Amino acid sequence: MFEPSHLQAATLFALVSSAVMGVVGRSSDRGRLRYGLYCFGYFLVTIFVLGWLMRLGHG
Amino acid sequence: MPSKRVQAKDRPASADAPAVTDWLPPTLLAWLVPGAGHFYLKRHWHGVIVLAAVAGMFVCGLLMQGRMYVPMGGNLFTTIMTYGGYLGDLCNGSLYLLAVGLGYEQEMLPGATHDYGTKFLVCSGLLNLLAVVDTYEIASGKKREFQLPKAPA
Repeated sequence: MFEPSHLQAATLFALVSSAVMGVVGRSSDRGRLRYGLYCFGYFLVTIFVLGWLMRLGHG
Repeated sequence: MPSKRVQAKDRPASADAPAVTDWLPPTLLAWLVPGAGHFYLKRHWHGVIVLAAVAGMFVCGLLMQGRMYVPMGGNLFTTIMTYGGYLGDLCNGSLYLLAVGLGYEQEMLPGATHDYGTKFLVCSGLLNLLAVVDTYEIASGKKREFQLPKAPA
């Protein structure tokens, strides 16, 4: 059985979602790459910020 | 001389509408096999990325022993959750049909990993839905590809 940690599961989700969003989101190859990286970066920042908020909220 | 607006209004609606035979086969194919719609439209690399992403996420969901949603009635929250989850699972196309057809069944287990697995199964279907819509837009001519002009020979 595959048992990733919370961070690994969230990062895997971010990677896969960004790849598909990059492919469907823009109409040029350069735009796709940039949009995919942009989405992935924002996913990671959101994971980091929400992770710390939950950590601080729980004490 | 009639204006362009009058001309557009007088034109039959079917003149601008894409032919069903143009968009239906790739759209159905995209739902049935993730990435196949893009392969059909000769966008091979896009098809490879969609196939790897959707199938990879689906397999991860199965390996995490995620649960397939079964539509259930009851209170409003249960109905929305189970019907929404079922539709998301169904968007996986042949991956879902194959898994269920081969007898994949998972009861509700405690633990975050199984819950992640369930969400991965639904999200892979929703990502495939994005790819299906993209295929439809390309096939019906609503999405234009930007290409750099070729250098003169």
